[in-house]
Amino acid sequence: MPLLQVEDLRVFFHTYAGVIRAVDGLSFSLEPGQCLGVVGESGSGKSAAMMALLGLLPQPPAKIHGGRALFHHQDLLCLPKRELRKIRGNKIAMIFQDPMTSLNPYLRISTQMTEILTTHEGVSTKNALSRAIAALEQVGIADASRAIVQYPHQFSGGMRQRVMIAMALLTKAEIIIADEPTTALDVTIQAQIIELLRSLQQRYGLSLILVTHDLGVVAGISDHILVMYNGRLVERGTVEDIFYRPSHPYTEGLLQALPRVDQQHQHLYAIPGAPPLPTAQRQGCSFAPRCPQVMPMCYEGEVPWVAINQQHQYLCHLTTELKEGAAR
Amino acid sequence: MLGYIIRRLLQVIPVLWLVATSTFFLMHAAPGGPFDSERQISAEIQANINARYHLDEPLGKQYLRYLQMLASGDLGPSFRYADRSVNEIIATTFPVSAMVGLIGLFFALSIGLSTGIFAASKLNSWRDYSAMLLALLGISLPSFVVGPLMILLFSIKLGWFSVSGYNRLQDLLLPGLTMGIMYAAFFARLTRGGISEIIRQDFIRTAKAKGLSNTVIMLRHTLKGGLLPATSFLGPAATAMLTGSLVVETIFNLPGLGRFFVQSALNRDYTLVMGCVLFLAVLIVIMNLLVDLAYAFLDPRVTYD
Ligand SMILES: Nc1ncnc2c1ncn2[C@@H]1O[C@H](COP(=O)(O)OP(=O)(O)O)[C@@H](O)[C@H]1O
Ligand SMILES: [Mg+2]
Repeated sequence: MPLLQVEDLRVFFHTYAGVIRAVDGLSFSLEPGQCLGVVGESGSGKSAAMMALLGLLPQPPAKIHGGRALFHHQDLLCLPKRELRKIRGNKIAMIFQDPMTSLNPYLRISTQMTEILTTHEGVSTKNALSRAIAALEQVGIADASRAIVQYPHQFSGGMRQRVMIAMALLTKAEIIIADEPTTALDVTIQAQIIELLRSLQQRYGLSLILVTHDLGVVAGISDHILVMYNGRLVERGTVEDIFYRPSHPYTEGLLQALPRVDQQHQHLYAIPGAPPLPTAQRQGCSFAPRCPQVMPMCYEGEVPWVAINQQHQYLCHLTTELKEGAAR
Repeated sequence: MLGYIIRRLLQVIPVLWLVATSTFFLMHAAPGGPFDSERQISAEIQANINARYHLDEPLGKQYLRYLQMLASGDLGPSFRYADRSVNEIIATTFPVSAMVGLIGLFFALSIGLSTGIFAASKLNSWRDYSAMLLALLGISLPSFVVGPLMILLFSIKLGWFSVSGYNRLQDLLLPGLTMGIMYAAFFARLTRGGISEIIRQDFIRTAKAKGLSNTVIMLRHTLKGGLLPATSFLGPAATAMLTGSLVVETIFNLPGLGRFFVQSALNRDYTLVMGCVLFLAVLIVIMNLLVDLAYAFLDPRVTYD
């Protein structure tokens, strides 16, 4: 049974400019001990979906227009605030994009870590402190008992992200959602943080949702990958499916846009055009205007799901037969 | 840190010199003098008085004489209140003003901060708007309206306090409250503004994601940063309140420093004006130092050495 099962999640923002359908019918499930990668260009609704799960979106302007998110037989989307608070930071922890702004600059690291334990487990501050120090050691912070009494500004970006990860480890959260955990970091630090997440995931059997706009980041760590475009899921599959058998033209474009070691001096490919305006009306496939294989029917009606197998599906008019036909 | 405090306090000396010099020449440049009056006095008496207070000497000499006196801690005799020295006037009137100011500060902070926090925790709701409307009212209503209203209600209608004058300590309560209300309104708006700025930050989202309650988020995560604007205002506000207000002291008929200060300027009581201004300058320097220390306490990124 999946640990988290999200069905048909819809998150809209009601702004003066119009309604933004940030997440428009997202379904996925997360198995225990697995890492699920969620990829898509910036603005495709990844953060909105994750924040909606934990009730972190400001409402208004956000409004959840439907769907379910089952976690231990409870629907996160309609849980009372008190109950949801018991889950946040405890059973489901979240790591955010910008470690420079995600930690409170006015409080010591020790305060920001121990409060998680005193809130959720009611342990003494002393006990919480020693567990917090242990968590910092787990994420590779040297001299943790000295570091913990410092303030965030005394840490580098990479170190702060380690602190955020340590916070997520404190309560042995069943699910850790990392929203672009490396986007704000230098490339070398990015690799270290991903490696840290990977080793922690293997060591503790964490269930991880790793959100990123960079397919390269999820390659080495994910079991399954969701590809989102303009608020919709357009392809899902195992890492091998996505990297070796990409089926949606958008996924193919994302893969081509990855820098590759064997083509160092070549021009980097970029998907032509830009994502549609967030307030635009939806008709047909929203990737159609940028799609190299676009057909007239792509601009109207509902786009069907094509199931290659149990795990691998994509949202496109180009069925496997059509693709084979074109290849031949 | 201690070295920093000492250095800041030593700054008082050049500040005092600058303030003394500019006030001295400004006062003497202003038309009229301390002994002008409607009553005609003979030229002889006038000359006598001028000689007694050295007003017949060239200005430069008077200035040096004043500095010399100042260096020994003496602010000189009052020109207007015969037989009273400026030191003595300040020493007897400042405690009254300071007491009113302290009471005012207490009301200003307790009412102001709690209203600001309340409004910020209900941001953009009718409760927030009504609290801020009330604050606007508090800012707009001058003390010469609030004061008499207070007297009418608490002294005359309810008979809790004496109507005017200062005999018992509780007589200072209404003046303190009158003064505090206006500043409370400022503090409320600054606190609300500061907190609403912090609430938008990413780290508040992190705090929510940790499952903390709204109360903990407000008190632990928001308040320290949210109080910074109010803290900046605390320096000038406290100085203004402690040194007394002409309006409040006149309405409640109190022998405070505020009245003497304003009167001295109108009277061209040179030494008293200088004394009050210098006293204020010292107080401002000390208050600013306290505010800077409070800043360092609230925001760990601020350090002094
Ligand atoms: N607070 C908000 N108010 C209005 N629109 C928002 C808000 N947050 C996000 N959006 C919109 O929702 C869409 C999805 O945003 P987001 O989930 O942040 O994308 P991603 O994380 O994939 O980059 C975007 O079009 C964005 O402009
Ligand atoms: Mg995002």
